[in-house]
Amino acid sequence: MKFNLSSFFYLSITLLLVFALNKKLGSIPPLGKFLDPFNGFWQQAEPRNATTENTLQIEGLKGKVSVMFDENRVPHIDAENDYDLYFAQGFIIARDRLWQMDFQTRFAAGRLSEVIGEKAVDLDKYNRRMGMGFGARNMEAFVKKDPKMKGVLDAYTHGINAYIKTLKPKDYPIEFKLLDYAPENWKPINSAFLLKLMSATLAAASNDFYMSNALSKFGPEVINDLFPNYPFREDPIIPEGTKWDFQPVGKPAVPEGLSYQTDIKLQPKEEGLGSNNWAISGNKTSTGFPMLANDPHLEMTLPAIWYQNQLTAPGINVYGVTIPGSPGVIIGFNKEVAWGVTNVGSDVLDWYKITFKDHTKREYLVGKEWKAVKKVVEVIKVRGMKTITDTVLYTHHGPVVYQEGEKPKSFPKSNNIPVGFALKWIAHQPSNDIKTFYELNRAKTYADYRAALIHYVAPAQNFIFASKENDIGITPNGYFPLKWKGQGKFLLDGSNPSHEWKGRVPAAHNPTVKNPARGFVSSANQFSTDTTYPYYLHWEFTGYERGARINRQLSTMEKATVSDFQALQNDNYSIHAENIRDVLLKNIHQDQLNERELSALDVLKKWSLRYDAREKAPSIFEWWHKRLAIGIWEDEFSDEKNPMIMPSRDRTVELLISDEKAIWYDNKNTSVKESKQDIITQTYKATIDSLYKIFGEMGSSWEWGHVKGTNIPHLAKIAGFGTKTLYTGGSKTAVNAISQTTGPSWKMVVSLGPKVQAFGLFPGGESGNPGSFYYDNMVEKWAGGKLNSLYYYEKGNPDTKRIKQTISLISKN
Amino acid sequence: MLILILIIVSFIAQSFLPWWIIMPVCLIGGFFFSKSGKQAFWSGFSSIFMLWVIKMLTLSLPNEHLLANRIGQVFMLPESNNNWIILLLAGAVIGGLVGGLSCLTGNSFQKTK
Repeated sequence: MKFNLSSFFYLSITLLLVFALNKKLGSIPPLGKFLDPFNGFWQQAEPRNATTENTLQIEGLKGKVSVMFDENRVPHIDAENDYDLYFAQGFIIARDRLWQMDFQTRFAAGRLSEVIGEKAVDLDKYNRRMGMGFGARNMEAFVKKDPKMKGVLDAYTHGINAYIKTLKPKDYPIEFKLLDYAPENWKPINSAFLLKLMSATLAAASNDFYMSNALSKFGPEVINDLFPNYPFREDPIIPEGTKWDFQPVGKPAVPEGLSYQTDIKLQPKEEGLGSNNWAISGNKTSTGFPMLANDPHLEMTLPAIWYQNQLTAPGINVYGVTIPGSPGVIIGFNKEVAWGVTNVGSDVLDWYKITFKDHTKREYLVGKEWKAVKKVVEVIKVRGMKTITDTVLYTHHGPVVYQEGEKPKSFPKSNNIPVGFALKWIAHQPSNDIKTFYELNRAKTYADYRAALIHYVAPAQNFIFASKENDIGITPNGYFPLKWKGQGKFLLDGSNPSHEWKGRVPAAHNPTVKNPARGFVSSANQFSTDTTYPYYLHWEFTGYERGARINRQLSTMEKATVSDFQALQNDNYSIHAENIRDVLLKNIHQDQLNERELSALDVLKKWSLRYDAREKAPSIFEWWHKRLAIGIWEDEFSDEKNPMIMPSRDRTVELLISDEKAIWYDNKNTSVKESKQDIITQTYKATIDSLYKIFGEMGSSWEWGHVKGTNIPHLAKIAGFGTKTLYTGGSKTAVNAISQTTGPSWKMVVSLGPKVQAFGLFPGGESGNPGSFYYDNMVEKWAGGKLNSLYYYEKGNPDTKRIKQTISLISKN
Repeated sequence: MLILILIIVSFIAQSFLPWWIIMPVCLIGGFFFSKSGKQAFWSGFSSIFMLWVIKMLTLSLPNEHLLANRIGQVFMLPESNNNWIILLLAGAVIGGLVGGLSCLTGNSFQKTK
């Protein structure tokens, strides 16, 4: 064979082409590999109708498990023992949601750079520096001491890994193919990471830094006036006047020199996500048995945040939702009881100024002693680059998240983090939260419910409960640090031992109420209690409007039905609008308005105060009241160097209702002195102007459903994997708190009784595969405010009409 | 003849080997069975093109092209129910090119025998 130039040329071209098509270029997946129908994305194109019967042989099962799928492809898992139950749950969830589980664990663990590359480095550093790994390891070590929970986590882990073992590259979920990486084995700590992620979402809000800046600028008198420790209007979760039947433990004394003073751009106040739950006693329902509803609101993504499943084995038959990667059911019901959760916004995150001995930062001051700093080296693998190491200093408070020069410039998540401070955060606490759910899943009575709550640490939740025995109750529950009133409202001094958390509020002293006289219990993230509760939980909670609306509706309900509850979940009425619409209309300078401004004002006057999708008034009102708040506060509270937050919506309402002459109305940046009426008129004109500019003439394009533009993006924001824009009503100040990307991530209504009946759905589908018909099949129904009837399977009595497919899992060995 | 051989062998090989197995398959096929460079290229191209189109359709039709239409948006195409056609053609042409070039390379080695 002699050398041939053209052969060499053709061979080089071919090899080069194959090489290029097998390699990921930037965000473009390897084209040959990805478009190949034998191994590429086409393999994830699921037929509409799956096969109906199937038997899978799996290594590691003890007995036989039946998995029955209903018309929404919700699995009803029937196992012979606990081990097989959690094994099968892990197996089936991985089958539907493996990539989501992988991605979210990587996110929490600060390991996204491994698969995404350099652009995720700041995020990875942030999550590691916040101590997510520290917290997850503490949790894993603690859970391992409990043989029963260790057994649950191990079985679940084995199930997930048994599924991963069945996969060939062609079977990998599509995102693995797009991002060009392979799934790795699951570890028990991953479940801990996912629970830490819930704390990061729900219990990591912190305005301490902004508040200290405001305190430095305005002094305590103004701050106490504008940022009070209890709101102007409230309707607390535990009904006002409820008696506390315990002797409070000694509260820490308020130290001298209240907090650390900072030496000192406006942060728009982030509205809470907006969850609701309620339960009413049997004497207010049509059946005579209690009913319970829950709709936890979250930043919505696809694949859906939640996964519906039913778990049946000796001693347990529970239906509900869980987070993929966490064993058991988190919100749900069984034959005897139902329970749900909403977030408690208690203050469980504080910042401590660290005084280092010298520039080596080996020791720091506590009282009169120098304590040793622990250095932790984080090793971050980065795709396509050299591995990065990042050294984090740990004190007994927690990690020093950023030292001088370490805070990234354009990384919004780090905005509220003060430099040189250590983070004390509940998510670092060892905890056995999954045990609470393990026990709730098996609960039969109110006593079981109370006993289950004791294990729970974070993120604190309003656990609502109802039982067939006609008990209802609610408990804002979790680890609440024992604090002096206002502790952690501002930054704290790490060298002063009296600034530290002094243990916890005893779990038995957490606020709770059973069967109150009014016949119902509810929560919507508002203040847990009135001011008679002897412990301090926080100075600010989410506004009271949703809670007040729920309570108003529930108090008038007699012989309530499932559709009454459904209607309340979809209720768009805004108490905030009720509070200030007329004040605004009364104070506006009508003589200064032009024709189109007057006609828009007319729409507002006639408004029903409901944020319905087809109404135009909510678009005007929503933009106006937000602009007005900024108009009032921005000139004082906006400072590039010392970021602050604005006073709350509640304080703004109070100002508008009861204060004619406050200095805050005047815009300091103009030479004239604005009155309340001026600022109201100016912001109204600006609002109408913006609406015209963006949406044109006042017509259907002004409808709230269009202006709000709700949509559900993909978890990794992959184009085409999210939803279209959905036409929905709702507001943060209405029970139906759907915003652009947040909303009810699961809606459930349970009617207890001789035969439990339940309804529910979430904005998504059971499958995590964008190539499946069950990826987003519930979205449309969800947007329309409808619910699915949930099928509650009972052993030995399967409903053959509801079960569409059965998979038998049997042991291989 | 060559086309038939390439389709059958590639089909079997692709069922358990990575996508690039079509390169050695077409190269060897071109080396042993092709008559000219032009015939080699077009045989390689059309066999992989056809094989891939058929395989794509068997997967995508029962899926009502749900996934392929979504993937179109991943590649910056506007939202449309016809994106799948573009992806199908793009994929099959890419496969065809690799097949054709490999077959042509195989043919060119004939001259060095």
